[in-house]
Amino acid sequence: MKIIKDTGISVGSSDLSHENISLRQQQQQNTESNHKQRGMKFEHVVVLHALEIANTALGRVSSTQEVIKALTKREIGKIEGAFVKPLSEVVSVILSLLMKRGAVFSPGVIGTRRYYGSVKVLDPELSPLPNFQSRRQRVLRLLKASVQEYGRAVRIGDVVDFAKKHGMIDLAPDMITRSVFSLLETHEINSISTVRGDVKGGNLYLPVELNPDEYLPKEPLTWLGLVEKTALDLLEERRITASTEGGRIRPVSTGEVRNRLASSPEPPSNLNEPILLISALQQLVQTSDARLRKVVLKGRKMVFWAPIDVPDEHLDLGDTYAKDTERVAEALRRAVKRIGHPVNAREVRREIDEDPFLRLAGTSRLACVLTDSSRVTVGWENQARRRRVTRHIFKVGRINGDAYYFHDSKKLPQALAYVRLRQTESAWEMTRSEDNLNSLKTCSLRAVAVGRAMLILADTRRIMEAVEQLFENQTMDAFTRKEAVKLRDLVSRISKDAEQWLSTQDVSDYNLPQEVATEVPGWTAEELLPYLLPVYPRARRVRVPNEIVRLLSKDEDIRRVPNPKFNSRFNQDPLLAAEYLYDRADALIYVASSGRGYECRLQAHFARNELGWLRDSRFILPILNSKNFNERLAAVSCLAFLWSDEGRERLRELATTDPDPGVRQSALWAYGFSRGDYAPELLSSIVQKDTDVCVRDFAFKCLEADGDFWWQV
Amino acid sequence: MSTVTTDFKVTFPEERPITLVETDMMKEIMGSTIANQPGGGMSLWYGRAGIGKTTTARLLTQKINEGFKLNPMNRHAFLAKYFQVGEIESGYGNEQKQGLKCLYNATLGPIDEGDYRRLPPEQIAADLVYGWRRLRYKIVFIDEAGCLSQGAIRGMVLARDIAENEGWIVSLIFIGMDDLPHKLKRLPQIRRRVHHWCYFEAYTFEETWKLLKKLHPYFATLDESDEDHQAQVRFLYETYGGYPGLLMPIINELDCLLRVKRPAVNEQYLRTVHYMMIHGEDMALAESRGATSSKKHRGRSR
Repeated sequence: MKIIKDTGISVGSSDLSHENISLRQQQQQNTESNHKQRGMKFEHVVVLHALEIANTALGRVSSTQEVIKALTKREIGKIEGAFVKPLSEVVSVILSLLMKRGAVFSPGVIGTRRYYGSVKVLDPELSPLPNFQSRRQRVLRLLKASVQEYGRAVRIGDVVDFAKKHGMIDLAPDMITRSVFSLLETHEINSISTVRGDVKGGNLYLPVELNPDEYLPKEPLTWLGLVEKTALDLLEERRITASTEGGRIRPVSTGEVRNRLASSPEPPSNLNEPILLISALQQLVQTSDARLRKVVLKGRKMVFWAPIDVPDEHLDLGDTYAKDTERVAEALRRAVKRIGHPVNAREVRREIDEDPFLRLAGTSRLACVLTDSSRVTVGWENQARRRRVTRHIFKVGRINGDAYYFHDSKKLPQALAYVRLRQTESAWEMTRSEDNLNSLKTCSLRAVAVGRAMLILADTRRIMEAVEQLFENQTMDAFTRKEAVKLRDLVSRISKDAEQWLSTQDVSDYNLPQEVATEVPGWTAEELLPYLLPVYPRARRVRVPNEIVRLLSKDEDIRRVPNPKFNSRFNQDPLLAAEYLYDRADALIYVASSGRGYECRLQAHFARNELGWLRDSRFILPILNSKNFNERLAAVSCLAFLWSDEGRERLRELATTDPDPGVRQSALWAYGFSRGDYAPELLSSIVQKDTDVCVRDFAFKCLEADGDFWWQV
Repeated sequence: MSTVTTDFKVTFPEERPITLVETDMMKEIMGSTIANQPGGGMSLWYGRAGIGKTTTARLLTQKINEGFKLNPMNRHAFLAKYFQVGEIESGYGNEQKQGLKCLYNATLGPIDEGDYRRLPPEQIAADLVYGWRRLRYKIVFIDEAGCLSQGAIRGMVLARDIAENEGWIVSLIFIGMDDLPHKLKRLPQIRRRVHHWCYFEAYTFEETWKLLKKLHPYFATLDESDEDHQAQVRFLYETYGGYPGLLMPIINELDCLLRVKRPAVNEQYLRTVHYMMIHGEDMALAESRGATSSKKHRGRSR
């Protein structure tokens, strides 16, 4: 029996080896004395000893190399010192001599290797050769299996791929090639046909017992064959469309052939090199039995491809559309057909780029044509607007700032459901619940981590409600429903994970609230600007506060949240006019981390790592009683950015009473930064009373520092 | 619908307590490292894999941090941090910053990516030192430091220098193999700051015997005057070269076998166990060689 054992501990496999070892040990007692009695040479004893080890460990007969592996370095040195020949030869000879003595037996040879067994360890009657196969036979079996898998005769490249796919990584491609040729010589396989050669080989091989007619390939195997078939399939579809709709056949462009190839389940790797497809099409039209021809239009660089048997008169060469609206409507129809749901202007643009006949003839931009065509009413100068009679383009909503359009009025409810689902997905992505859940492990404050997990749960509940609403409306098509189910599953999984994580946390000693506050205190651009001025030089050039939205949006430094009080962009009150507000805590962390002071940067760093998106200070306050100074320090940093009355009160208390001078210093800074009352008075008092010189020095520097920018000390 | 039948059932093994043997060499090195800390020089711990560098560093970190917990109000008390670095290759620029980022992430938590890009290395180093001071770190062990480029090491040295200037003495202890000593020696700016060079020597035959006695109760029963017992230890010593880390797998394997069947162990038994362990490795390597040659093959099939 064959034992293959990994280097780790494996109790199961050890049992057998143990039995072997026990068996051998029972007989081992007198082994050395027996050898001595028979007058064996030292080298023979050593090799026999090694053979016994190898037999015991492997549970079978062993080859010379396996015996050598059981020798120690010292033993190898002694054998090499006594004999001139290479070690393997010496060991082989010694084993043969031991066979003559009857101490060793051999059940036979596999390939060029003889296998040996010690009569003291293994029973010669019950110890056959190991079940190893020659490489040639393995390749034959592989070839037969690959023929069965592909259902056709195979090339060498197919066999190599099959071997790789099934994890036979020890069979190198050159070895497979060599074995295939060997099998061909011995007529165990036949070469039944050839194909246009590529990297996988040109000959098709089949085992002799199979009928070649049944195993000839039906699909193209080569790149050129594939390109030709794809182009002809596309043209055949066009021919059918033209005959059913009563039009002419539209020739295909290279881009359309490329897209078709790219959308196949296994896109060919040649598509990565654009020139290869063009070369293939050029080659196909130049062959003697060409089935495609090239169509070149006057004044256009683009080349088209058409069936060789269809003349130009029967081709649609781009004189079908009268207006840009019609072109855009057609592009929209195709884009929706391709994608299967409402599309944005980029998708429509892609259709136009692929079909030159759809390019806009007028000067209007695509976005304008789409917007104008989707309006419910139309009107001209000095005339009242009236309802549009025929609509081909419908605007169904916005997702992440992009307008989405649809073309079919009958399926409008389904399109609207799709857009609502995507909006919900977008809202879900904005919560970043999955990332937040994963980042809980980096949070060193348990109470804060619990608050963050509760926040994730609150977000998942909100999203789940929106998804359930979609299911209730029953307007989703199959695709949207499938996507909605996916989203629901994902949200549900995150919710369960968060719940499970929460259930493992014991924070009873903290007396935390049962619900987390989800409100995010926000600032308008106007409120944020004064804080940005000291750390953001470009903000000093801003004339209107709203300009900072543009400046900051490039690198998304500060999180923005939807404004619950948003009314209209044109409202005079900035709080009602802002669609989004800056997260106040995030803005303060950004400002502090960009500041010049070490203290502000350190505290911003701690707060960023701990808080995540938690904005409820009730989860921080209990940590201020911790005995661990690291925890108190981190909690103080969090309170510096979550402004609350109770937080300020506790910070003031800590600044004077905490036993650790570092915590006192941090609390002092945090109190001032969170706009605590009478901060200068507190600083003065600490300058006089604190027991630690560093804290006194820090307080003094704060007092001395420049008014509003003291926090950058 | 497919049905799968299998007899194998998982039995989760019990967790075994980690045996940590504090050898004389470890005590000596830990003592000298603590004694050298006020000087603020950097240290190098060098030695072959499996000799016990990492174990010593972890043990010392644990002891320092436990000592701190006992009396955090002691103004001389400090904390230590142990961490392993990944590779920082030379020639890609910003190596100093990358080295500082390693230190920052390990001691103060993940640095904000924006801050990392925006701030110059000296600023990051100054922030780092301020954080160390606040969190009271004075010894930082940097394991696998052989993976660091010279630039990255210089970044770390920058932090140490700034700490020294600020009056907060921090010892950086580089632990590693390969060409780490040469890297530290090549640049005078680094070389003159490494005050303490520690070389972890392989244990002698006698020390290995002592170590084995402490590592596993089976070896504690061995008699030094017994020839077979001597042969057992000599086999382990000659095969694994007196490196505790290399000895541990066979000791674990032996422990497992002893628990299951309680066999009579002798030299040949140990050799058989060793053979079983290396056979799997050899098979894997042989097959992997085939895979490597298949990757190299770029020929055209016929």
